[in-house]
Amino acid sequence: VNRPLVVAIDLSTTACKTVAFEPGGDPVAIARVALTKVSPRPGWQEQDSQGWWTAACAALTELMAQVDAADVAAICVTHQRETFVCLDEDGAALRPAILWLDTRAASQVGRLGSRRIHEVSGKPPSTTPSLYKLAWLADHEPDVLRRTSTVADVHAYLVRRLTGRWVTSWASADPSGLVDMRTFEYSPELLATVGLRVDQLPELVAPGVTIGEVSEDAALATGLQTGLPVVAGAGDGQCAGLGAAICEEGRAYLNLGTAVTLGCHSERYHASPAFRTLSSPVAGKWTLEAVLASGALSLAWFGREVAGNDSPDAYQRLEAAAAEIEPGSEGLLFLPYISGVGTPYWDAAARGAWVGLRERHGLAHMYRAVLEGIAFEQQIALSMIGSETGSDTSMIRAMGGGSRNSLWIQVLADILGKPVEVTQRSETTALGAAILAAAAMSVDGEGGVVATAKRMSRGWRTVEPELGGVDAERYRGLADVYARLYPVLSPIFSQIGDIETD
Amino acid sequence: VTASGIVLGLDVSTTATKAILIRPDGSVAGVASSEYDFESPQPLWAEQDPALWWTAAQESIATVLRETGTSAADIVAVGAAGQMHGLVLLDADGDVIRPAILWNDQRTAAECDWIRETVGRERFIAITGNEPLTGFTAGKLIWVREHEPEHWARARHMLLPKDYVRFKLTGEHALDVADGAGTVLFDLRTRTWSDEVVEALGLDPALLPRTVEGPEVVGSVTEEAAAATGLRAGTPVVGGAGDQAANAVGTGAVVPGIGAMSVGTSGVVFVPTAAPAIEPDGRLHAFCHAVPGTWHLMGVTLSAAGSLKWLRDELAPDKSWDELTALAEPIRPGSDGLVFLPYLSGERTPYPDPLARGAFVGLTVRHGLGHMVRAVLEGVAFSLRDVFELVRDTSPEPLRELRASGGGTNSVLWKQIIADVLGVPISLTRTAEGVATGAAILAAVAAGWYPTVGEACEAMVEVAGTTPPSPDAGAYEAAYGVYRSLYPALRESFVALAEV
Repeated sequence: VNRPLVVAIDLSTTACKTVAFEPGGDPVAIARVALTKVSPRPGWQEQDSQGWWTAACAALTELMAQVDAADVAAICVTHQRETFVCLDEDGAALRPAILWLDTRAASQVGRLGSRRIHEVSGKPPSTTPSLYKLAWLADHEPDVLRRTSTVADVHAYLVRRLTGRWVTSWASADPSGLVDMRTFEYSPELLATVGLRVDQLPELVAPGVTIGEVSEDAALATGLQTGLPVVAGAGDGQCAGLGAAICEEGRAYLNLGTAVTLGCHSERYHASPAFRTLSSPVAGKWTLEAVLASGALSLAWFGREVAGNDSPDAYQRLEAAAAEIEPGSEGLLFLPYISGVGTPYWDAAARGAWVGLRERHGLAHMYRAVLEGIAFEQQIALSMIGSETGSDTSMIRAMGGGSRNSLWIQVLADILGKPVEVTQRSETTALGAAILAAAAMSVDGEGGVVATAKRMSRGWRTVEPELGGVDAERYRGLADVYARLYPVLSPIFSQIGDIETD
Repeated sequence: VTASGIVLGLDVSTTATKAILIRPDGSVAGVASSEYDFESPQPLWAEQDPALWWTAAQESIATVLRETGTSAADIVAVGAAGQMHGLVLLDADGDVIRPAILWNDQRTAAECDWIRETVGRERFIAITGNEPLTGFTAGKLIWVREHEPEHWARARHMLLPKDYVRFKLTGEHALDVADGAGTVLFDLRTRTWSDEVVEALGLDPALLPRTVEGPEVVGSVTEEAAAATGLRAGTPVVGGAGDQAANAVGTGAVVPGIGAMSVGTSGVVFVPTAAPAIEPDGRLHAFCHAVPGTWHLMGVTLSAAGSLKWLRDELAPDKSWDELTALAEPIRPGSDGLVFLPYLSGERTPYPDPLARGAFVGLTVRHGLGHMVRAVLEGVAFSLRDVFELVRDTSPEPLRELRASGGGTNSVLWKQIIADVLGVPISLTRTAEGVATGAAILAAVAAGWYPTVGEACEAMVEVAGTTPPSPDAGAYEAAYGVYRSLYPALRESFVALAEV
């Protein structure tokens, strides 16, 4: 039977997307259903887990209306990470799911966060990993935790609804902070930290393994065929990397979204404040990920709040004016920590700054400095990852909305001093899940996740660094000045933090 | 004594020469202004042809007489004030040898270093009260001697800008002590040329004009000048003052305890002192006051209203000043943790650092343009406080009030922020023309209207309104603490940015 298509479910914070890919990696059908989240209290971010399944069913039904179900060989899930829901033995939610960006567990991070937890889980202490939010539940809603039969990540939840099995990929579960990253098994030590038993968690399998088949009920609800193989996926960040075929050392992906994520493939386990260590979608390997929360967020903030105009026309004028400014913004630097900093400093009190203002600087200088500041941040991340792993990055693939901003890509290539590849194709994250599904099915007879990724991830165009001589020298000089800004400003950020919390 | 008639004050500024007519009660009979520009033939240079000043002075005097219908016979005395430090060189015939080198000319860094070495920095400050900065006249003299020997050979008289205008009015070579101290060739204590400094620098004392006090009569209007201006020949002309001292007279800052503050492009805090007071590190200017027997201290922050103008020009060019400052109104003191360092043009007081730069520090996604405007208003106020505190702490007498002037004081919000941050009442006087008014008041003393400058100010300067610190002035303390940490933290980055 010729079954040329694979389907990916990409359930992010804001939407459930379903995409059908042909073996060459081109999306042939897409459906999208929006998701909502609620913030019942400052810092709290929650979602109704039932809504995940409802949205997935709607998006799959819409997708399957565009393709022949018989053509689909397998399905795989990628998803927002760290988000979890506590379910009773019937699979009913005991409370709303707590999202990755929920910051309620700051005091649990302060109390439990340690070098040891970082070493075992690969996750520097922060409010992101589920572990600290489970500890919050233990402190504030102990009854919920006691009645919990299963703590499910988004992947586990959808797999259960699709197949009836409580199984998840270790590349989906590891962002929780409960997995020993050296063995890809739940760590009894980490579980003890929050008082969970291993039987309260779904079984772990390697990404790319076939977990089970779509049940009759699920087939009815989605339009998929009963018996369709369900393949273990991975979190959305790692899947985006796989979608860009970042599965060898020396390669990195740069996801230029609201947050900017830099991910490097690693053949060995490393733990460092410079990155979070995640399971690669390539089973048994790792992804080292540096995150700047305010990436495109900084650009959107600039247009809306500083320039006072965030229409596409206004951005176009701003980009054009910024492109005319000499590289280095005539000595103006921007520290893009307008929503704090994660890697490598892990300082929620950090703030943004323009430093070096002179009368000659204008709006376009300030905007260019924002683009350059985000790029300097990536340069620091790459160099720290390099010195931790001993492996130099020579190839970078950019994706996400920002990858269509040609000035930003050029600034990144120039400041990193490396070629940056971009693609016209979108849905790179879903493609990562599709690659896992295709590899599991050996759709074209050639197996292996890495080989499949190289085949399906296509259409990349290289943007070379353009600057040489004094311009490149100037960027190197500014990078040194930039790298010293946070160390000198961090006591001032704490000083401001003390005032603002009074 | 019943004073009668009218006095004429002149302000020979960098951009215009203004003429003001003032009655004995201090009321303004009329003002006229004639504008011009300065030249920058090379980077760092700033020059002006002295003929521009004389032409503009003739025009503005003639205009104000004509427009007010004032008879020249009613003008009882003339005072001139104006831009300080500019070097005018005249030959034996009284002709100008080269364009004047202005206060804002920066070419003399090497000459200033040489002066420091030759006299010794500490000795120089001890005698003159000041560092030999590039703005001051001494370095400009040495520069001409080194670089233009043919001009130097012809030079017989040096004057400062408004002294040149007075020379054209009276034919007298003279220079008042308030402006004269700004040559930094003065002995601050004796209020005249320092033999030691003049000799150490190898200058010919014959080049230097006689020195006079501000309200002292230098000479009278010549027939030729009368024909050119419409003034009556024989009208007495006084010494006058440099613009800062004249502005202090014009706003009533003539006794210790009452200072003057200007919030223009740059910000200046000025306090009269009863005795010469010197900041030992030379971070303040210490000059003679235009009031005989008194001195003053002065500090400068280089970008005051200039910072707000920069923000408007670059970020909100379509907004009026009122619209711009209205954005800052609803923001709480402290700008929600956003702090602005206003060193857009480097800084002078309290950090003499040409490499210093500006910064916005503390940005979050919650901040917008309104926060940035408020942070600028607060950051400039913090910088004025730095200057104010250094001036206050160096001055032997306590300071209880500041007489404010300059465009920045037009904003009610900004005036209140400055009063709150400095913790001192800010008063505005009736006139916007503090410099020309000060020159006129000095003339009024010479005319015998009042026996002293102090009494003249009491009669002629009227405070139009005072802004005291508000009860919640303490709200700025914490943000000022953050501000104080910024420059020390960023200084090395500023040096590094200059090298990149």
